[in-house]
Amino acid sequence: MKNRLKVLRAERDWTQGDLANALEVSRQTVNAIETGKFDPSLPLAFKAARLFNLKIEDIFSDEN
Amino acid sequence: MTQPNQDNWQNKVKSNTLKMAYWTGAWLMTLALATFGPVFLWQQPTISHAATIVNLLVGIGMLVANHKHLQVQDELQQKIQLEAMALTLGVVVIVSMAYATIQGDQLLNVKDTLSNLMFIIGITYLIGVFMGRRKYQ
Repeated sequence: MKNRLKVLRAERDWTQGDLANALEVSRQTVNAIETGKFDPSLPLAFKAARLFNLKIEDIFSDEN
Repeated sequence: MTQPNQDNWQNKVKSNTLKMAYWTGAWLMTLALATFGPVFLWQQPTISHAATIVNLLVGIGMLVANHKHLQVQDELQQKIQLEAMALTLGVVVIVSMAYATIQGDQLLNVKDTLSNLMFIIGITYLIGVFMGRRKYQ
C-alpha cells in the first residue's frame, strides 16, 4: 500500500515525531508506514485522514 | 503543532512500562525469597508456603501489568511483540521436545531443565523483539 504521509507531513513542516504524537503512535511506526514497511489499521488510517482533513483514499492507495 | 492527547499517550506508555518493571522486580524478589528463604532465613514449612503464595499473587499482578503494558502500545509495537512471542513459543516447543528426547534416550544427563528453558525463553524473546525493531526500522 502506498501513502502520501511523508508529503503531507512535509507540507505542514511537521517532523515524524510531531505526526507520531498527533496519531498517538511511536515515531518508529510513522517511519515504518511512510517507508511502506507497515500498513496501518483502518482506525489509524481514519485518524490520519481526520488529522489531515482528507479522505483515506487521498492518503492511502493500493499498490496496484 | 499541538495536539490535545500528544503527551497523554506517551505518559501512559511510560507509566505502564514503569509499572510493569516494578511488578517484575517485585515478582523476582518474592521468587528469590520463596527459593532461598527456606535455605537461609527460616525452617518452618508454613512460612515457605506463605512465601510461595505471595510469589504467585505478585505473579498475577505482573501478568495484569504486562497485559496493560501491551494494550497501551501502538499497533506496530504490538505486532513486534506478537511476532517475538510467536518465535519464542515455536522455539520453546522445539527445544522442549528435544529435551524430552534427550532425557528419554538418556543421551545426555541434562539437569535444571526448567531453568534452562526459562533462559531460552528470555533470550529468544529478546532476539525476537530486536529482530522486529530492526525489520520495521
